[in-house]
Amino acid sequence: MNHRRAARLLSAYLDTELSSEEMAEVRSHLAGCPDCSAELEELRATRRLLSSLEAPDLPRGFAADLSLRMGRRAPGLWGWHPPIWGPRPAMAFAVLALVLVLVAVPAIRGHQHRLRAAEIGPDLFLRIAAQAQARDPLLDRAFVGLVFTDANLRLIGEDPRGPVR
Amino acid sequence: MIRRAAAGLAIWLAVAMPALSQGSPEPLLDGVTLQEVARHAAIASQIVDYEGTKVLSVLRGDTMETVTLIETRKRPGRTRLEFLSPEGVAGRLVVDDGLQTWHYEPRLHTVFLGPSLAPPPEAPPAGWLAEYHLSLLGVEEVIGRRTAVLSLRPRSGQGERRLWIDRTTGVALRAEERDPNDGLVMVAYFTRISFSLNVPSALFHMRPPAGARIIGQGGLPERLLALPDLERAVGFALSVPQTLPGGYSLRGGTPVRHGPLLTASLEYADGARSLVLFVVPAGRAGPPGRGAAVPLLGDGARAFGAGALRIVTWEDRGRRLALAGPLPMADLLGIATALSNGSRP
Repeated sequence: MNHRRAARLLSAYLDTELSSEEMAEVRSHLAGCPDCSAELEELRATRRLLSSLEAPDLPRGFAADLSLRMGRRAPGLWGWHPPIWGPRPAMAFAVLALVLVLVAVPAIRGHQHRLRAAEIGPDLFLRIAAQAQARDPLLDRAFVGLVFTDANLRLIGEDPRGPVR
Repeated sequence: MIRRAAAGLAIWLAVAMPALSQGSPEPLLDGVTLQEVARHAAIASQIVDYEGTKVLSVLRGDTMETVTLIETRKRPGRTRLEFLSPEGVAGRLVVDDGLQTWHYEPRLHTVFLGPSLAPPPEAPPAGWLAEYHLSLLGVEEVIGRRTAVLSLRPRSGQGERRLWIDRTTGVALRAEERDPNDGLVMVAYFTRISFSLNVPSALFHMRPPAGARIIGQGGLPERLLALPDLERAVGFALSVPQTLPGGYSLRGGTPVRHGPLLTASLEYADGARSLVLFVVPAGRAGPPGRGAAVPLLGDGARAFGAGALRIVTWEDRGRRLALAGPLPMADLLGIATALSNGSRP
């Protein structure tokens, strides 16, 4: 186990939340790493300090009020919070961002394509229609050339008749 | 064979002209018919070289404009168009070598590279002219050359094309296109023309000017696909009719891709003109933000004109449809409405 990963798991090690294999790996790393050992000691000290603090007295009726509020919340998909999000807000945010990337970006891009298709579509269709006229061997070639080149310009957003005169 | 056909045309016109000018209703001479004259006119660009100045009166935007240009043709199917006026198009250059088309727009210093606009190199199919009702209107002189004036009306009876066909070369020296309301859509005529020139091949090779922006543009493949093949190519069902009101029948279709937009393009023709119906799932293309609203075709239906071409687009059963062609807007809307009503269960 490398130093960075071990350092990240120290808090969970202290709370014995790791698997037995991970506990053994962290223990082994601590034996050879004075920095991680020192950090673990700091964490222990902090925990001792927190546990030594006296718990404040709750106001009267707090438990009943809390139960009432919890009872009001409708049970369902959105009311359920997997325990993983509580202590890992960064992970929750990352997952949320990933979902946005996977779902929202294609949707936005699709919408942009649709809008762009709406704008270029008619000019593209006019150009294709101009080209289709060219299949007619008796149609005047200069006329075909003018209609087609005008359509080329329209497709890039230019006025075929030139700048405003 | 082509030379023999051209010689046949010349002989026929030379001998038949007097008879035609006397109003012979169905001129036939040694088996040469009006259909064959029209067929020769259709392939003249494959067998005749020329260079001339042409005047084109055509609807651009919402007004008729007169455009002047130099048109040069060289066998087989190579074309060069140099636009002279008005100011907005002066300097525009179109070079078509039969394989691809370069369009240089000087005011934007931009070259558009696209597919060739030459008609298919092979002679038109035998049934093609059967879609027209042909008649001879007479014999006239155009820039000092004798021409046969041919009227081609689609069997559907909508619109008309008139061609002044040079008796010796088969080249149309003047052409007129009329819409179904008999309105003049386009008039093109040469003010001078020179045949049998040794036109240099270099004129049909485009070397883009230094620093010019080059925009490559795809286009329609040469061959039209049958409906099942087109559905496979675009990946969605089309369910379109074989005919449209006004005598337009389906010739086939092609997939058209432009960036993320994949569209099915279906060509309908009545002989004289082509309408193109575009189909795309509605989720992939919304309504355009311009054009006039067409309440008859529902929310998001829009119609607008772009010179000689007009387009109407609407949504129908989860599809966005667009119909484009050189028809008056009222006729185009009529066809779109019938198409929309016909597709409803």
